[in-house]
Amino acid sequence: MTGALVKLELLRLRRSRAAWAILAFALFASFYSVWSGVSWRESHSASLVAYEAAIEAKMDVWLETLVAIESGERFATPFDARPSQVEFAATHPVGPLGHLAVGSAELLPARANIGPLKNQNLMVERYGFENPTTLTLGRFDLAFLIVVVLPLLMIALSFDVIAADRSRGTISLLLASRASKQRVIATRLLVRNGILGGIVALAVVFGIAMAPEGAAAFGLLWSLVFLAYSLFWIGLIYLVVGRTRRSETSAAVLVSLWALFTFAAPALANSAGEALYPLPSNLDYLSDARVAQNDAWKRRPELTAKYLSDHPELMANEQEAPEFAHAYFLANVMEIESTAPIVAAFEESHARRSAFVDKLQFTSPAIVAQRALFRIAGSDFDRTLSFLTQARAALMNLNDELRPVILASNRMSTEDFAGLSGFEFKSNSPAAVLGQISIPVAFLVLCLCLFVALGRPGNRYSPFA
Amino acid sequence: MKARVIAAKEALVARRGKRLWALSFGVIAVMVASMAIGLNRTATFETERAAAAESDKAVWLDQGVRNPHKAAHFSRYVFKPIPTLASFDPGAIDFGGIAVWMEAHIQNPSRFRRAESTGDLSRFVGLSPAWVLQVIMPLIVILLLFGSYAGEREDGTLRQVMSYGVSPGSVFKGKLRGASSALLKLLLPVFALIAIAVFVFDRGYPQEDLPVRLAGIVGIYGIYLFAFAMLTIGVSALSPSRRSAAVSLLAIWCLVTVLLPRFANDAAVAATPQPDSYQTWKDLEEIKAEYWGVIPAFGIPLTDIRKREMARFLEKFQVANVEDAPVPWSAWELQASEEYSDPLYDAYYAGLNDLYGRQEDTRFWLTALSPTISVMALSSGLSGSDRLHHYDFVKSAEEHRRVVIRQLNEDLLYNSGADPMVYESPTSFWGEVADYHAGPPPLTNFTGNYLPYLLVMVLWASGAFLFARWAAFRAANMETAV
Repeated sequence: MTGALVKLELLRLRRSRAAWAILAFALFASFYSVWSGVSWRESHSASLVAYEAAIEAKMDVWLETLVAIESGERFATPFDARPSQVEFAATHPVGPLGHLAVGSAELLPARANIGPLKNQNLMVERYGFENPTTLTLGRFDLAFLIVVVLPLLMIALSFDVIAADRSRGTISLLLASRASKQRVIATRLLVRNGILGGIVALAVVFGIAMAPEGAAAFGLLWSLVFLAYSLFWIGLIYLVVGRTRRSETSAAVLVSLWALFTFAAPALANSAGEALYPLPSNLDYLSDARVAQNDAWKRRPELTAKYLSDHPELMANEQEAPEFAHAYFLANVMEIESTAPIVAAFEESHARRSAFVDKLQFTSPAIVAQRALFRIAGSDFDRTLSFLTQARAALMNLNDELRPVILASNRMSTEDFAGLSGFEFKSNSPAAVLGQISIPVAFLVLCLCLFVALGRPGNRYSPFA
Repeated sequence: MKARVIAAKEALVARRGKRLWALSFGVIAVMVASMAIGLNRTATFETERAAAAESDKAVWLDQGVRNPHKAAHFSRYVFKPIPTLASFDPGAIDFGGIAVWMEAHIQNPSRFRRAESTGDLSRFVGLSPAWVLQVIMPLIVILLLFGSYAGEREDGTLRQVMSYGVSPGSVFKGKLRGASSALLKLLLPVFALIAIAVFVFDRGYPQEDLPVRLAGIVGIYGIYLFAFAMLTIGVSALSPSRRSAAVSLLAIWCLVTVLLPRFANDAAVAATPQPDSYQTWKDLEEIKAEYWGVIPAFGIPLTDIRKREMARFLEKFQVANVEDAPVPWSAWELQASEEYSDPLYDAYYAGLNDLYGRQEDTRFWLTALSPTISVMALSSGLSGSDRLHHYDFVKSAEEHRRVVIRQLNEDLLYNSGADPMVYESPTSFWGEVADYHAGPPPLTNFTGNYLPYLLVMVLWASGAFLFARWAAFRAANMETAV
């Protein structure tokens, strides 16, 4: 019987122009979104590689000069191969599936210059040249397609799954066969959304195949979230179409639920998070940083003298470095120390806001899916925050390593240079991401189970009761 | 007369159905919530801006005796004022930087985009009164009017009305009046609420042309929603039943207000990619280094540009050596380098601005499919929160930077004596450096940029009206013919 229902449904779909239009749109939009994401990934990654190469080339020249000075092949001017000129590139690589969810990645900093003449404020290389108008709405990426557009297409394809038979008067004929109403609805929903989901799944597989090596585990997690989210919507549609008699009512209810879940709930959760857990202002941070820089500038002789009085062995310098080198260094160290509380407050407020949104996400499957997909893709805000924290730590570490030679106006040895710790971004493993998304995804599956249980004929709340 | 009777009947049906009241109540509740959020954000941002500007000035005045060129490297920041109407439509304000560092030698981009600290959820949608009017209100219009013709046809009342000899024109006029009246009942309290909020409670930076801007906002949303009302009546007239009208209109709403604006955005970036931040900054640093060859330029041979400038310097002061001139060459050169690079920065930023313009042109062409794209552009423009207003701020910050740096360079030039490197300006000098006071620019600066969008809106509304009229006449004639 199910086989006959499937065949009938496929025939109906073949004859429906609206269904063809929806499926064609899904095909175009899903592959377009992958293409758009891949081109963003390629250009962004190329830019990061070019940045790293430029810093590396600069340091190669610096090191060659130092080697030449050490071997006596070159006369050293006060500006040559100074430790204050050491730089390392810190880059935030695109996440394993970043092309499937551009998310906040196009907005946030991805390059930092780790060097003793930088502070937290200036280490992040200048960015933000994008058109603010186009940033406002975000990208048409696969995550957007899955979270926002796919449910809408599912609704468009399924809202009249049974009501059309009612309005045509063919329902009695249909139910005169051995098929129960819930089986008819379930079969039709699975056939229609199976084809739609299959098209999007093809794009997902294609997108995963376009990922760099080592992203297979993340691809699996992404597919899992995609499946759970799609099934959630099929379950919800199953309940609604079974409970409503008229197709326009089904459409109105489902579109309202879609608008509630994808617009209203996220907007309210975001506004509530902003209002209840405001982050310290960037402008406050800037003000504190400038006060600290100014103080350090005014107190530089005192601070240098204090450090050298604690380390008299460093005073025998081979050649006086320009004064601005250690003046800037001291100003930056002081700036880092004095803005540490505001940075800590920012991180704490963000953690509290994030924990709050973690709870609120259960008000909307769209929030659950978006957060999970962003996390798996490596495009979430937390990952950028982690990059900035790691870059700050690397900067402080380098300052500690270089402090003695800079303040003593000495030159470092090539051996010491080789021993400096650079920067390597540490990202979450698939297991860690799975830990982060397991409860939200379990929630989607639980909702699906609930819908199925509610839809069983014996249940008093069942639409088919 | 007949049209008035039909309009009265429409109003009566709307009142009895209670749908209008429920929707009005819902819209006003959402509007109050979004306006409260907007007012709170604007007040917070303006307080932060004022505090940051005050702190920046205090730090500047407190720097003690210092070499003016070192002070030019520390320099000052200017902070972007948040206009009053940003509470209504934040537009692109969270996506453009809010502070510009007026450093010597280089025109820095604006920094600290607020969207960077709002988290991932803000990528869904930002709740604002403008968003409610752009996305939710068309849905309300559809819910109010989708049955206007289709319902009457389904119930058989349209045929009855036509059989009384009422002309199709009268029926259409009646429906039009009924729709306009329902729309006015919805919109009047909404606009009154916005006006009260903006004039009484808003703590944003005052906009001198606020009444004109507000009138413009009322006008464009009126046109936009009228277009949706006409589209709804037209589709309803072509649909055989309420069901098909509702479904078709919901599909149109999703496509026009949700999908196409996002797609247009992506297509704009695909057609004209965003500038690469690393390359852009490298280009700006190259402009900075063009005069000097390399920075710092101590001990480096003179570039041709510097040689030419030196020749000009010697000629101006009629001396053979720079040491014989009445002012120090190194101080002169600092200002000369600024004046050399200023037009280069102007050209570079104008190029970036052109690139943004090309992206927006792609978006503009897609307004043919979605009036929401037009209304978004016009609404943020009228609110003073779009990219054009942001660019105006960046330009005025740059003009101010040039004034400040010239002031510092001239102090070095005329007061430093023979050795500008060791000269230190007295503490009292910092107070003489001008503060930044520019507010939001007037709307008239950008009128030409908004006219095409306005034209598209009017075309959309006219087209929708003609479509509705054609569909209504067709429906009425079909009923008469049967």
